[in-house]
Amino acid sequence: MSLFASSKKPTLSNDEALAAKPIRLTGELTEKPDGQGGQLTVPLAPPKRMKWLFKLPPGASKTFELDAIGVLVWNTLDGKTSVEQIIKRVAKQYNLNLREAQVPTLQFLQTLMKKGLVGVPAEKS
Amino acid sequence: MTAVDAKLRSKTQVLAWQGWRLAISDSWNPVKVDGDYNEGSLLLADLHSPRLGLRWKRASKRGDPAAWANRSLRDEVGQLAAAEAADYKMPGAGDWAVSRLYIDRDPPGRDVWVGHSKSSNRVLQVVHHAERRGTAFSDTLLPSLTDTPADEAKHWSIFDLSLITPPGLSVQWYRFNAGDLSLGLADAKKKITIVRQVGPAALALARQSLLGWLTQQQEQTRKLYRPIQNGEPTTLDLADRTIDGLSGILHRKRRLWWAWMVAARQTMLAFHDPLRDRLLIGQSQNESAMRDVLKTVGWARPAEAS
Repeated sequence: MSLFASSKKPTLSNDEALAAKPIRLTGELTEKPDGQGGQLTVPLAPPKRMKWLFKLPPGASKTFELDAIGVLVWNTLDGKTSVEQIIKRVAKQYNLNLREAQVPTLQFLQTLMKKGLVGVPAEKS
Repeated sequence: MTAVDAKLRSKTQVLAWQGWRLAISDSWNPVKVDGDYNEGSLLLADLHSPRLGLRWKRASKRGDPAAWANRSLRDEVGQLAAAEAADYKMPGAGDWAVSRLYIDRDPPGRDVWVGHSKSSNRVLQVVHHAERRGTAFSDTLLPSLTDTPADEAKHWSIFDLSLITPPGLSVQWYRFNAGDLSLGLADAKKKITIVRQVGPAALALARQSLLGWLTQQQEQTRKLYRPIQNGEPTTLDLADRTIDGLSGILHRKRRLWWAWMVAARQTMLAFHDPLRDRLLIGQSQNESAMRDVLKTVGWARPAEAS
């Protein structure tokens, strides 16, 4: 047994990542009238261990600016659409090839996951 | 026709790189690009896994292409499998001195074709990662393979960027970012012509105007050049339509009066093609040559009028 226990998170294979169906965890999107993007408003919460130090006013929120592709991806995060389907939808909508759609879509999803806005439901074994 | 064949034949795109030209599946895209006309490699993959690999190099004058083909097959699939390879008559256009094909009997595996092109005196190895048994590799993909000699006009088509370069102009560098594709072309005198395509244009123009994109391209040369004219309206006559854009002229900075190797003047052009929804940006010392190349952009995927 190791002296320092490592908490490595399980990694997904490429196929598993493409088959994952991400779902929105929090946030409210307000689309712009011209269809050129939108604003994603996320309620702010202090860090769990530092609540006594960082006190936020009630209703505090943070706003992210999304472009049209970001809005399209955000709207498809319903827990029923796989990542592969999202990539193909972006490619079809903007007449891109799959590689050009795959790279920014995956980067965007990774950013959303890092910020805790999106999650992937764990499948029951 | 198997499901694999139907899938490969239903949607195809043209891949043209370093003189090689072939029809591949619409869902395949380059994930690794190396080398130049004389020696290089190209790996194509779909969303899930690698699908096709190309590797080429200039054949040596003293070497035996047939011996190279056998050695290449042996290195790729092993001695026993290489012994099963047979000579394969290429049905498409092209002058192939050597052409051997190995088909893996029990997929998933690798089908390998090796050949020597007399047109450019280069040897090529094509590896197809077959998941299920089908004949698309030998019936569809290989027949579409052609080679272009070094002294002829070349077709280029990679990702969404396609253009035709005149004889003597070769790709010196390339930068492929999602939605922003650039090729640096050079002639024998090392004169550089840059072709850059940005898309979708609607999103690009929402970020900044066409003049902003032109200015951004000029910023990349600000160490050597200063703009003396910027934002003049101009047009580009394509085969079936005319697109509008802006032009700018750069002059070498005065402190570099002694730098004869740096071109004294450069022209930059930026166009918006609403039919293809792409921005086209060019930079060169020779404006007429640059316009001739820009006119050919999009040959692989003609835009359909709405």
